[in-house]
Amino acid sequence: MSRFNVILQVLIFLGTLNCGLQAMAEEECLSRSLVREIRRDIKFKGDAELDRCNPKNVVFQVVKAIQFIKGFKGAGSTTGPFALNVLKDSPFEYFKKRVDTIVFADPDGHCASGAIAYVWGDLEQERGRLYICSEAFSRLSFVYRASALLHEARHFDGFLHVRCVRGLFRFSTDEACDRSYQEAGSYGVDVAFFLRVAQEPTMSPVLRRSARMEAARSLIMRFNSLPADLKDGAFLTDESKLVSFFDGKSFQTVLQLNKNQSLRYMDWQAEFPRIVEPGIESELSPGLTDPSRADESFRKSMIGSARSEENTYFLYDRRLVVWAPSIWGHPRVEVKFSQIKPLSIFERIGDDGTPQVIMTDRDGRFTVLPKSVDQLWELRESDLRMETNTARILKAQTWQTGDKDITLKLDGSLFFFNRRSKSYTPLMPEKKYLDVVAPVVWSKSLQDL
Amino acid sequence: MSKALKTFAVLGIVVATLGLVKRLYTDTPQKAQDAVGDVKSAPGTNLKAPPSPGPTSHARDNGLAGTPSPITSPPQNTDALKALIFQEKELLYRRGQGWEGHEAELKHRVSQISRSGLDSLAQMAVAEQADPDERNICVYLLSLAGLQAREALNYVVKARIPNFSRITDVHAATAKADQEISLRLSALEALDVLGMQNPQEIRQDLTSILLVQNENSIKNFAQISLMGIMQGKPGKLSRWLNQLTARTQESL
Repeated sequence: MSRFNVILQVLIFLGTLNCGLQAMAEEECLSRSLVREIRRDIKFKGDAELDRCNPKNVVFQVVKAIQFIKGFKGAGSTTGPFALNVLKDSPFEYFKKRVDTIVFADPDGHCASGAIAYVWGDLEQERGRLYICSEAFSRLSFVYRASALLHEARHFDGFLHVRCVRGLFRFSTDEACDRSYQEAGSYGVDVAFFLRVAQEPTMSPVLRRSARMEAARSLIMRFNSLPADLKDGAFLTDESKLVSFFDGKSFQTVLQLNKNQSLRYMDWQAEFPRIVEPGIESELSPGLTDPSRADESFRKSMIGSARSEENTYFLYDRRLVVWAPSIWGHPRVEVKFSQIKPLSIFERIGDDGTPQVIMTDRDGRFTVLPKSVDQLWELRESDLRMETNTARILKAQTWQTGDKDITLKLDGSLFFFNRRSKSYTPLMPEKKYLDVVAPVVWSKSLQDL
Repeated sequence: MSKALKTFAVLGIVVATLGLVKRLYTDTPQKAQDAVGDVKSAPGTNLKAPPSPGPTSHARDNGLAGTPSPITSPPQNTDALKALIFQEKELLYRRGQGWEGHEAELKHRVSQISRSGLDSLAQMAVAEQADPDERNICVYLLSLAGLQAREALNYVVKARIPNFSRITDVHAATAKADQEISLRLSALEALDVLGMQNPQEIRQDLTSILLVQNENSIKNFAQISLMGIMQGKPGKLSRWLNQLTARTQESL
């Protein structure tokens, strides 16, 4: 064999070996051509360097998110209740028209607040610059990262968030909502993108399911005007056990309960308090750590819970347990009942404007539960003075239906509540309700499905 | 000499071919089909145990961070679960056809996971520090496991939402909360679907969720599901979500 042949074979061997090893190593890496292609449209600036083979690298994550966005074609102009037409060309076309630079730096210290990404949508000199907060961005799921980029890009079109007038963030002073889905602001673009992912048959079912859920929840939480035929309201059970959905204007029959059925356990006021004191963990542990075993008896014996600023109250069928952290050494107070037959427990705002925890009984009476250490210390059943003037006590907290607040008093009568003047106006004095489940979002479509 | 060189050259070609074949192979959702194998765990573990730190770090420790390969005889049962999660995560980035077949196969494999294995998946799903995509995959796998995953799904839905009050940016705080809530809602939807097979048991689960979980949108979705069962139409939540997405066929 000639020397030439030997060298040639060695070169072939090294070349092919190199190709093979590279193919194996590159498998998890972003391709150079992809990075070049993206950087042709979007500049990357700032502290972070791209590590093409490290999925935990924030630039890697941004490139991957943009690649994901690039994978969607334009849908063209469409019509229908959810058609936004914001991303009609293609999500990437939409993005690159608005964002030309992604900055991996935080010159204004905005990331310290926990922000994920931000833009200065109203400053001309900042137009096209999208800032990424590396740590928070990295902690998002894959589909959420992509939607965060599209979300921020929309702010360059002048769409800013507004204060929420409904939903979970209603009492927040922060601007955490958009006016409506149809307005096609940043949250609208989020939802539209999530929905696009959800219906894309070439995508992983995990992504599609997550995206669908994000879309559904955002539709309910993020818009001051609910989309489709959804309405805020409450389920009310009347004395004939008919459950209706009331949206502040009209009633829609939902179902007829039988004699033994009740919706009482669905009352949102029976909500569990956030658990901060270690002692309370043990009070709740049967239901939280092993639902399979203890939950049934736990659910049967527990009537509800309420929380004041100072204490947490748990009402069971024959006893009341109060966790009072201000009582040093032994913060758990237990009152056993032999006379009182407890019915419900809830928190409400008292006439003096301070929160009170109310316990009602099956004889139609109520008591305001004590909260000070002096009163709680060695509390006995006989210390609880049960009153009968239930008309002045709210059975439920107020809830929003349309543009009004509604509440149910302990005697079962329904009232409009004027939040500004703190006054109540009877809604239908002749009609009494056994119970309320609120707030809920419901619709005609939901009823029919 | 010449023979040895030829052998090296052939070896080089084989390695190159393997690399390329592997690359092509991982571009299809079929690749994880053989991943689980027998994932039955030892009895005795249940959801009382404190949450595990999450699958990511373990996957790395076990040397699974690189190229996943089909597993036929897992060294440990938990490792097999983590490998499966890792392989499903790889598929998140892929686009292609054949997902239905992949899901059917996955469903079959997940049905072999023992009760304690399902519990482990539930624990991984609620581990706040774990990778959010891996957590979503855990819920997805549970949703494929049928009625035997009922308790694990309950565990996920009822898990407390972490307190994000340290995050002062409202959008960031709510985005974090959104992820946590959506994860639990996905588990809730899986229970809703199970309600079509066993409405009475799922009804109990839903009432218990309404009592234990304090997040309002989870309560609302649970109420929708429960109303479906009470109206004699279980699966209402899932149908509603399907309708919602169907109505948006061309939203963008």
